[in-house]
Amino acid sequence: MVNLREIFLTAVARLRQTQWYASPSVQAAALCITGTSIALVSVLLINQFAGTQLSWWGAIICSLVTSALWVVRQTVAETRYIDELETALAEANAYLDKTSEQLHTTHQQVDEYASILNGQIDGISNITEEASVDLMSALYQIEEVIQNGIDSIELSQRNTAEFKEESAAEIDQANHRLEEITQLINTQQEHDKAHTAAIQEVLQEIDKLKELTELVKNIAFQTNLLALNAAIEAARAGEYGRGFAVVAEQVRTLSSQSSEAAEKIESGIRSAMETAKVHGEKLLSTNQSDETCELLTSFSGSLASMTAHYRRLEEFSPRMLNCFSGVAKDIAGKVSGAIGKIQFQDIIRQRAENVKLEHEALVSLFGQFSDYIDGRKAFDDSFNLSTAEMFEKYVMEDQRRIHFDLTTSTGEKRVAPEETREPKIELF
Amino acid sequence: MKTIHLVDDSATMLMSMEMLLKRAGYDIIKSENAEAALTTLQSASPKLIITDLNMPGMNGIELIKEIKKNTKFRFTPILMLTTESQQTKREEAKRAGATGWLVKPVEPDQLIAVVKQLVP
Repeated sequence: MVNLREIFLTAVARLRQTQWYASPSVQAAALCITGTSIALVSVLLINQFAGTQLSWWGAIICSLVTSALWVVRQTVAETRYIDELETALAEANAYLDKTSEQLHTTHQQVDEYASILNGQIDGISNITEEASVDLMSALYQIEEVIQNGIDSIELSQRNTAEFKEESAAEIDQANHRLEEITQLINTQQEHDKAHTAAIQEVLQEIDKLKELTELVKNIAFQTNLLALNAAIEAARAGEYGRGFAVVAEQVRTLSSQSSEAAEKIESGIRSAMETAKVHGEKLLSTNQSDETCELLTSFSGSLASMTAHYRRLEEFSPRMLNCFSGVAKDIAGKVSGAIGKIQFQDIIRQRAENVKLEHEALVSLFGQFSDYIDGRKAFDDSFNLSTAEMFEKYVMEDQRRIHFDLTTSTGEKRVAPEETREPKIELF
Repeated sequence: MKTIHLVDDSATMLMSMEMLLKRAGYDIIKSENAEAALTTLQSASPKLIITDLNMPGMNGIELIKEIKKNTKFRFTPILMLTTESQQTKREEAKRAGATGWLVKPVEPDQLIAVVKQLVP
């Protein structure tokens, strides 16, 4: 019984689904049966209560003819309706064919478009990767140069320290020798002054000898005059004065010899003076050592100044090297940080890969849509794009955050990603 | 010899990690995927392995499982260096035998500190 009831209910449900009662022919047939039944019941009631003998066949034929006319009319109307329906269906089918064809074409275009876009994404990934590698090579070279610079600085610092020790000893020695030379020059200057004074004194003494020769010459002149007077007086005395005349002659000869001797002495003194002057000037010329002394003193001052400058330079040089060394190490640290930041390229590449995957999913869905229309298939649950599935494919916290922000803004409810609390570095 | 084996399909990551770790005094071996890494490990004995998770072919967790099958690497520490941040993946890597988990981008100083902790 239960099975029969179920079969009946199923049949009724199917009939309802097909909407058989909406057909004009069925409605006409139902009307015919109803009309004939009413006519027969009417004849029965009239014969019963009015006592008449109306023919059953007349009522049946009348009803049947009326119904038949009604059926014909409805059939003609239905035929017209079916023709219109078929025309509309044909038009709809043609539209669907065109739509399907267009979808197929569009799918191919979208596929090609997607391939190009994916190629562009690959291009971006490749370019950023090449750029990152080039950038890292450049950073590596910078780092090498800096490292070489640091090595050179450290070597310079060691060399400078050694040179400082060596040069300090040499400078001390040079200063010591300079002091000795200065002392020697000062001593020599004092000696030169003493020599000059002695020469001047000798020249003055020689010059005094000239007065003596003048005196001798004057005596010789007076003696000559005296001899001449004596000769005159001897001549006046005659024979008695002959011996005196001889003496006067001898005195005059002596006076002449004295005068010649005085001349010779004067000549000798002049010659001695000239010789003494020449040698004295030569000796005096050695006083040029004063200039030499001044030059050496000046040189000594310059050397002392240079030593002081060098010592200041010695103090400044390590500070400069330390400063440069600090800057170089700072740059090396910055380079290291920049190398770490270049990891962003891998992150971008992976996100681009994810975009490509979802892009391909969209194109695939479009193709599926085209197939469904082409095959006039009914759309079921398999025809779907799920943002939840998209969410599951993410690997980065930032991807999930963006998805979360966008999906909540469009009304979809989703739990906020929890991995934000996870540490970036974890040792198990 | 303090040798570290890097496994990553990104040339950028391999190069940057190599530069940072070489500066810290380590020798570097590089592989561009898990299969190449397994081939390299047949003849190499690194003190530490740092691998990516998402790679074409075998992924990082599968690689760890394969490495741990070899008794030679039973006590070799393996770090995962990845963009993946899900806790479930961390747990999976931990079960497979990973020593630690580092999320990209990792700061150079932090990376060196972790590596020095494992390979002093």
